[in-house]
Order: sequence, then structure tokens, then C-alpha cells
Amino acid sequence: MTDSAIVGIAELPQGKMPGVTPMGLHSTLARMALADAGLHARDVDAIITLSPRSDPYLIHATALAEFMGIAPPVALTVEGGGAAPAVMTDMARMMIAGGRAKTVLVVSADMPLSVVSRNAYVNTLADAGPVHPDIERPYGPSVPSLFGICARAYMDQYGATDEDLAAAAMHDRRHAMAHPNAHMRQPMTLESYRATQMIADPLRLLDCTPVSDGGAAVVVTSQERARDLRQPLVKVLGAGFCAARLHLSAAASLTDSGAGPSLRDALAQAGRAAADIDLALVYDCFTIALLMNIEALGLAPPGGAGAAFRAGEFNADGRLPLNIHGGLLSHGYPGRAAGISNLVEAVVQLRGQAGDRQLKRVETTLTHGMGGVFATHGTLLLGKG
Amino acid sequence: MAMIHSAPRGNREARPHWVAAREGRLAMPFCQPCNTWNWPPAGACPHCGTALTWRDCSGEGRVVSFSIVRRAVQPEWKDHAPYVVAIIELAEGVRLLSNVVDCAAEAVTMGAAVQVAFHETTDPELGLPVFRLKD
Repeated sequence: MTDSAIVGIAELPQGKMPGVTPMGLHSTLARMALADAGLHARDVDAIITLSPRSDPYLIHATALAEFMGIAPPVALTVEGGGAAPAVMTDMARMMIAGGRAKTVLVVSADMPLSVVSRNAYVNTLADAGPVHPDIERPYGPSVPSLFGICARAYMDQYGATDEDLAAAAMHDRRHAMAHPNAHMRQPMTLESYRATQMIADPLRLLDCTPVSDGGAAVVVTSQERARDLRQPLVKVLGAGFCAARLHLSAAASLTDSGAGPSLRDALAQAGRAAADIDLALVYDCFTIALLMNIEALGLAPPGGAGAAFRAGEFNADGRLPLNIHGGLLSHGYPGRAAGISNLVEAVVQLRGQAGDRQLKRVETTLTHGMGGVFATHGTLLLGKG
Repeated sequence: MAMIHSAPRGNREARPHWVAAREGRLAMPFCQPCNTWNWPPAGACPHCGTALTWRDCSGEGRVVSFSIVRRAVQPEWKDHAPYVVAIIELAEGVRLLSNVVDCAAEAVTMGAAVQVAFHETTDPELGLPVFRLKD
């Protein structure tokens, strides 16, 4: 299982993409990622997509293949929530290891901002998102209120304050301001954070992600073949998953995100230790999600993530650079495709292609994704060849 | 003034819960062999497969955590913000998501004692358990 590599990536500036269609975006990203790898569309023998909320099809991956004029024997559309990037990449590895495919194209994109209206998208999330349709929906919970319930419990348990939440938001924003593809790039201060309206106490507007058009594409093949391609080798070292339940009503804890076992299993598969990780990209659909996921992954002590942000531990020059692309909170939240940017940033850094943002030392990266309200987790470890 | 809620889905596993609420009872699904509550309801116990029985609870509980929805997203809630969505732990030990009603949203606190109340829905056969702060 240690024999696959990410050989092509593509990402466009996240945000509003007027005049672009969802299928056009998928196709553009796919061709960019293949060109990045030095491969052709006809080389693709497996394609994996998500079903974008903005453009559903019976089998989205097959519709994309048709749109691109290719006919790969395998075309799968997966449902994995925010853990999908890890799910899709791991499926690609297994198909390559098992001989089912040689070149797997993964495309994850959505256009909730330009194609669906922002409000319609938020309404859809409340109806078809993480809210239980039987026992939760009658009480009118918005998605921010479900995370707000967790945030209140976290603040109560650890004595945390809005300064801890703000520290996560400001960290992501500061780093997004330096990233050419990031959606939200206006400066944020504690004052400007506090000046935004309360959405679902204790969460304010800037505790929530924006809604963005965007996504990315990734090409996966064998490491053997990758050595003959044009980009520096980036290996997929390990993957780990965990899921305890889907709905918040079934949660055993409101303050443990539950992400820990996904990293434990990924490290075991990769034969690496947590101390080897020198860049972490952690799923952050809300500020509270970032704090809780960091702690569950063991990257900060319980209740200590906010202080770690304030101390600069997660800055590009800190103890463990984290979300240096701006995270979902500021890099952008492209609906169903949320989280794929974590993978792209890891590859760019491992290749040494981040320009002014390039970290000095990157050998092993952690990319984490989460589905639902702390429901499912997928963690990938990538490494320099 | 109690709001008339949109009816919950009346043809799924939770139906006995909503029907009991219309009759003024808080019924929750219980597995007798395992001696455990089962929420969200799964029809049969996920551990031993025994059919669940519905037991009436006292209706007393406490607020485990809560949020105040300032910006409602579902159309029927638009005119009711701000309102409180909370995780309630019943005295019997089972947790459920509900509303805390008939008080200022800011009056709700962590750990506050609550008592069940029942609201009508647009389906005359189905009610909705909600909670009020105890004096």
C-alpha cells in the first residue's frame, strides 16, 4: 500500500467564478492536473468525483468523463463529506495497488456561490447536511448552531473564550492573505472579528467559513511510474479513517472531535511517528472545529489550541506550520469539495513549489478531513520522494 | 405564544415519540435486555437486535449545552429567531436535541434544570417535546 504517488495537481483561485459552469470547472481542473503531471486525458483509466450540490448527475464521474470525451473503465462518485479527499486518494491507491487502474484522476469541485445562491446553499445544508431529518430538523438547528453547541461545551469545559476562537480565525486569515488562491484576504483583527454579527452563539460570522466556488484535481499513479514523470516525487505514505456516528444527537462527547484514531492508523500504515510531521492541514469548517480537531489529533493539549495559535506555534516559522494556505475559514469553502485544498497545499509544499510561502523543511505532511459535525475523519500522510 | 411547528416525519422510526408527545408523554425507545436507551431510534436495538419498547420518561433534565440561533435557515423558523437549540440530558440518562422555550434566550445557562413541555405541530396526530427552564 506504500506504492502510490500524487503526480499532478490543479487549483484555481477560490471565490466567485462568474461565467463558469460546474462541469466546465471540473474539466478545466482535470486537464490542468493532467498537464501538471505531463499526462493526457486518454491515460486516465479511473476517475473519482464527488457529486457537487450545484450540479447533480446520476453518475457524476461518468458525466464528467463524457464531458471530457474520455471513457475510463472505472468512474466512481463517492459520498464522504469533508473526509472525501482522503477517501478518494485512498481508493486511488487501492485501485493502483490492486492492478485495477494505472492513472487515477480525482476531481473535487463545487460552485455553491455562483450556481446555487449562497442562501439556497446554506438552506440545503440545514435540510440535507448534518441535521438528522427525523429527530433534529423539527427544532430548527442551523449547521452553525450544531457547532455552536460544541463550542459552548468546549468553552465551559476548558474555560476557553472567544479569544481562542478568534485566534484560529485570525491565524487562517493572516496566512490566506499571502496565498494567491485564497478567497478571503482582507486583514482580520480581534476587534473586527468581534464586530461581526452573532450567527449561533457563541459563533460569530467570522467563526464560519465563507461559501466559495472552487475545488481541485489530483492525479494519482504508482511511485514507479511517477519517477518517470515531470514533477518532484510526492508519495502517499499512509491513510487512516474513523467514524463513530453521523448525527450530533448520537455523540458521546461534545468536546472530543474523535479525529485521533484516523491519524494513529495513518501513522501506523506509513511507519512514521507524530513527531515526523512537519506540516499539518486540518479541517476547519468552523473555528471550533479547528481547535477541537487539532487537539484530537494530538497537535496541541486538550483546551490548548487557542493558546498555541496565540503563541505562534502554528505559524509558517513556528513549531508546527498549520493551515498555512488559510484553511476552509479563509482559503475558501467550496461546498462538497471542501478539504481538497488541504491536499493541494501539502503537495505544493512537498515539491518545493510554494514560492515566497515555501517552508524550509517539509518531509512529511498531515492532511485531515472531517465529515458532518465531528462525525467522520480521514487523514492522509504524504512524504517527499 | 407557542409556535405551531412543521410536523416531523410521521412515518419513520421516531413516530411513537411524536404520537406520545401529542398525548402529553415523553416516550423514549429502550432495550430491556441491554438496559439501555436507544436514540436516535433504530427500530431494533443495534447491539442485540431486540425490538425496542417505548418508555415514558419523567420529563426532567438538564441543559448539557446549547446555542442561540440568530439567523434561522429553515423557512418556518425565519420569524422566530433568536431561539435556543440545546442538547438535553434527561434524568433517565438519555440525551436528545430540542428547544428551550418560554424564556429569553439569554436566560438559558449550562447545566440549567429543565422540564418537558409539548408543542402542537401541523399534523394533529403528532406533537413535539420541548423544554422549559424550571423555576
